[in-house]
Amino acid sequence: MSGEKFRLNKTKLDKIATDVLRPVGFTRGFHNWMAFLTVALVACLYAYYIQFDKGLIVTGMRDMVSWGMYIANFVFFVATALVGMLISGVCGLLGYKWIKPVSRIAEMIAVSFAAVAGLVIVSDMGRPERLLNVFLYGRVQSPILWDVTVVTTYLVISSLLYLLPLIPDLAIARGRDNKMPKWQSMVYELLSFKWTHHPKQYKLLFKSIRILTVLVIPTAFAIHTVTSWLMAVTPRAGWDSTVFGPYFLTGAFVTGMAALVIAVFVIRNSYRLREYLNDDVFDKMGKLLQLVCVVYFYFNLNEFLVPAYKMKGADAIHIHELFVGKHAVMFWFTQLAGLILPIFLLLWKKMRSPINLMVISLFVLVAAWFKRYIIVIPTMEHPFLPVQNLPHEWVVYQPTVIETAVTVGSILMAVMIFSVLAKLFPVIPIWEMAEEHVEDKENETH
Amino acid sequence: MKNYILLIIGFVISTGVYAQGEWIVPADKKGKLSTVTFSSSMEKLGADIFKNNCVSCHGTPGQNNPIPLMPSPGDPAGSKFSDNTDGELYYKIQEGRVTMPSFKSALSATDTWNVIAYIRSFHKGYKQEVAAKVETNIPEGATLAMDLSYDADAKKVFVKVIANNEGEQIPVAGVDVKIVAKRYFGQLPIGEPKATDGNGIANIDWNDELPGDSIGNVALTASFVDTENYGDLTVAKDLKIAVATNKPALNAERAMWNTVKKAPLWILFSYLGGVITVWFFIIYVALSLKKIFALGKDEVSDEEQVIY
Ligand code: HEC
Repeated sequence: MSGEKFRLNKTKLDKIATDVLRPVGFTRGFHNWMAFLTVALVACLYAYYIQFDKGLIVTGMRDMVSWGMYIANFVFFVATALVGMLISGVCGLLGYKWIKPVSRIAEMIAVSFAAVAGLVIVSDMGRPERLLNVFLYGRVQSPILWDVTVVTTYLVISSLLYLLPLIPDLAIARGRDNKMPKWQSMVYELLSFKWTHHPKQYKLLFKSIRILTVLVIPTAFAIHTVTSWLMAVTPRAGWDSTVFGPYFLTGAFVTGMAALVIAVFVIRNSYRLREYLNDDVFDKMGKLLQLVCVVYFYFNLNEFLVPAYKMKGADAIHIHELFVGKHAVMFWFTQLAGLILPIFLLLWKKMRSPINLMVISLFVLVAAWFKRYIIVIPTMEHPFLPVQNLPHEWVVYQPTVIETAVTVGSILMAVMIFSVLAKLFPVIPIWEMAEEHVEDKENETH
Repeated sequence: MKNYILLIIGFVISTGVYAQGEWIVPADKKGKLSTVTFSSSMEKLGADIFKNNCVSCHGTPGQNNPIPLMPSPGDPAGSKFSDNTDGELYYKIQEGRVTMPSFKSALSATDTWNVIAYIRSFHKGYKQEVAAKVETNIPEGATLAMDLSYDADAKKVFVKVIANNEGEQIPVAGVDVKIVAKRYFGQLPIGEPKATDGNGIANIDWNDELPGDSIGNVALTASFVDTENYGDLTVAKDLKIAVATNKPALNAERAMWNTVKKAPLWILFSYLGGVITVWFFIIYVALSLKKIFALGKDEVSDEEQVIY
């Protein structure tokens, strides 16, 4: 950056700030939306209360299938959260300019989903009051401890990556006369860290963001690789795989991209920010979604075709269940609707228009959730030790209403966090959009 | 889909017929008999086995309180049981069917006969038939004794079987015996089973490279191969004939399966190294935030203005 000087164009900044700050604030519509979410969440929390009171017996999990919907949902949450790393980390470091208007939305997804992912794990614990023991007596040999470590670390880095670029925007918002409630302007004052647009402040900010964008990549790789290791370090059919780390990671990109498209679409329409979140951005997101789908498909090919070619004892039973057995419908839905069809459809530019891309992403996201189910549950149904005379409900996993409600509750929570962030703070980085790099000598003649 | 439904129907029919139909025991298994006469001591042993393995389903014999299963397990004192021949009982207990577990790997031949002896004690009018004795030189009514010893020169383990007939010691010839060594989990068969010779001695090759405990002891157990005919007689001995091995306990050293204090160093360093590196930068960023805050007090000259 030596020859260049960082500048913000005042007229541009003014216009963007007006547009982006207009929807900020807890409107009546927002109150209604939150009231609706809260009522639904209370119902789900009641389901959790029953589980807390009676124990995990109220779920469909039994001796054989001891990891059910909760773990599948946890993997889904972690996967979705990784979009922050894909956008800010990978695309950011590659210097893609089109990510600017969506980068904050990606971090909002990362923060809200990473924050709830930890809670999802707690919901899978029979004795959550012993959670502290994980830290007191945790063993560094156990992937469980690694997972706890990386999830917390990723949450912290994502929060910082959300907060840091927000600081100048909060200062900009404070500098404009608007009718913020008192508590909100206090939050703004606190989080704007006495920002005065001092060049030295910008310098520190750039350096910090740079460090974090580099740091978030290995951390995000670690978080999802470790999540995959929770399964891959066991010798069980369907999990015992050397490509599980990259398989999960690339799957996370697909999930995260789909979530991002949906979030950007909703914000673009309800906030009337079409000028910034324009068709071109969707076209680019569509192409990126397609790319990550292709990569993920490649790993799926390896993950299923190689064991299916060999058909080793236990693997054969597992593959059979997935391809033509009990889980076939779900399996082929995830592969076709969540992967193969999107890859082909997205070849057409028309399919990358906002509404079309949003519909495709919806399918991809739903399929992504079921894909996690396919990864976790069928394997558990086939233990290696020979068993006989087990009750039917041990052998076949059937999620209960309570379990489903708790899972829905976790999704509601993530949506709530996202909604609050989306209304409390500007969703598009104002200063980054108004940013201009001016040649130094031009500056001298100025 | 059609095939699937057919498969389900087929399965339901077959299990239905299978479960409710008569339990047919192969003809050659029906006539199997115990080689020893049921005694009160056998019944006592059988009662214990029954209490531990069978009561949960069959209830207490004579009380007609089996658990309600389809088909019913039945009361062992009832005709459902007493109508069986000894061989049928033996076969059904060993093999099992649907909800009746197979006890093949849980109960030895002797245990199974003991539990049959116990069941039979409830059947009035039952008269036991005993299997014809196999040809041996063991006199009627003699008690058997077994001994284990090691010959260092020949590198062989000797198992000696003697029949004690009213003070007279008769070497038992032509009986197969085997030895096993105790190990961490389960037992290690040593060599092949051998028949005793005219002196009542079977010699089994010994591999003296076998690892023993810290002073070279190995726990050997000799027994008959044909326990049904000769009984469960065993002899166990600690012999100092193996290589002394001083393996540390499995949890003595740093290992993946140990507690965190005894975690392998490489994993400790990798984990802590990763965590410390990442958090070092996170804290660095947090400190930058503090600096940004402090800079807020500085005046920004027109020259330095970023917004123009
Ligand atoms: C898990 C429950 C269960 C246990 C434990 C169990 N049984 Fe059974 N048993 C059954 C059932 C059910 C049947 C009926 C099976 C059939 O008719 O298909 C049965 C049948 C039998 C029969 C055959 C009766 C007939 O119809 O001729 C015998 C003999 C028998 N059991 C002995 C035993 C003995 C001895 C034990 C313990 C060592 C034992 N069972 C333990 C459930 C059990």
